[in-house]
Amino acid sequence: MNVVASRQFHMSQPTIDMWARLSGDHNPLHTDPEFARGSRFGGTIAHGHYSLAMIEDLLLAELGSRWLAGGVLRDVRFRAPVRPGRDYEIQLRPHEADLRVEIRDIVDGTLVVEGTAVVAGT
Amino acid sequence: MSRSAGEQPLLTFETVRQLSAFPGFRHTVSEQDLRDYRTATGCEDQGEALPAGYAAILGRLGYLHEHRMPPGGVLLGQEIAWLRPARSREPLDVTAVVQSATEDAGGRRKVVIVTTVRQSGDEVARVRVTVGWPT
Repeated sequence: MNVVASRQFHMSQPTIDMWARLSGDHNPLHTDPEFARGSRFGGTIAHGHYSLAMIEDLLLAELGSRWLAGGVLRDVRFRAPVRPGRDYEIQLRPHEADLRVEIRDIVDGTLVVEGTAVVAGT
Repeated sequence: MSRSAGEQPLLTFETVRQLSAFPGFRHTVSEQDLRDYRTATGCEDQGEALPAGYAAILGRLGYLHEHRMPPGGVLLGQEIAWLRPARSREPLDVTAVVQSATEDAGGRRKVVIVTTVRQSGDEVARVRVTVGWPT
């Protein structure tokens, strides 16, 4: 299926730390490597709302006023953690009248986040 | 400015079990916040205008303001509608209302609607957040 828009990003611990300060979410699962090593994730992971912000920004850049006119990002599911040191790609694909949103690990293809972008008027 | 990690009290499920709404608050995105956001996301510089993705942060702030989730607490899902532009240094009123709550063998969850409004009354963003607490 055609990709309408895509964007790649690299996740790093400094980015996670900056996001923690910005959002006030200092959960050690994100910011404390030693604590996170003992968790079920085996290491720190990015905040879920970071991925959502990246998706929202791509949707606005791609759809402009159409997205501002009542577009909704919905049914978001976090399938796997976004980890520091890895590269990811966000893809928007047509799905019926909406857009399917996915974030995948570029190297191994793991689906980490998925959702649906409902564009106003569609 | 938010409190540091060590100073933030835990937002336990016991704390919020009876809540139908979280305490509202006024939030202003500083120019430094906006610069940090651009650095973290690589998003385009749009001057003072807040990027649409900032709604994700507002959604998180709505229920977790000045608190931290206990270990095992997770963001399970989120729906975002960015309705109207806002700017840095502009006071925004953030409210969070509990839409539904479940507590059973499958887990403890709340669905919260976080609304951000300008001083003019215009709605900037509406975020529906599903939050899970450890059992």
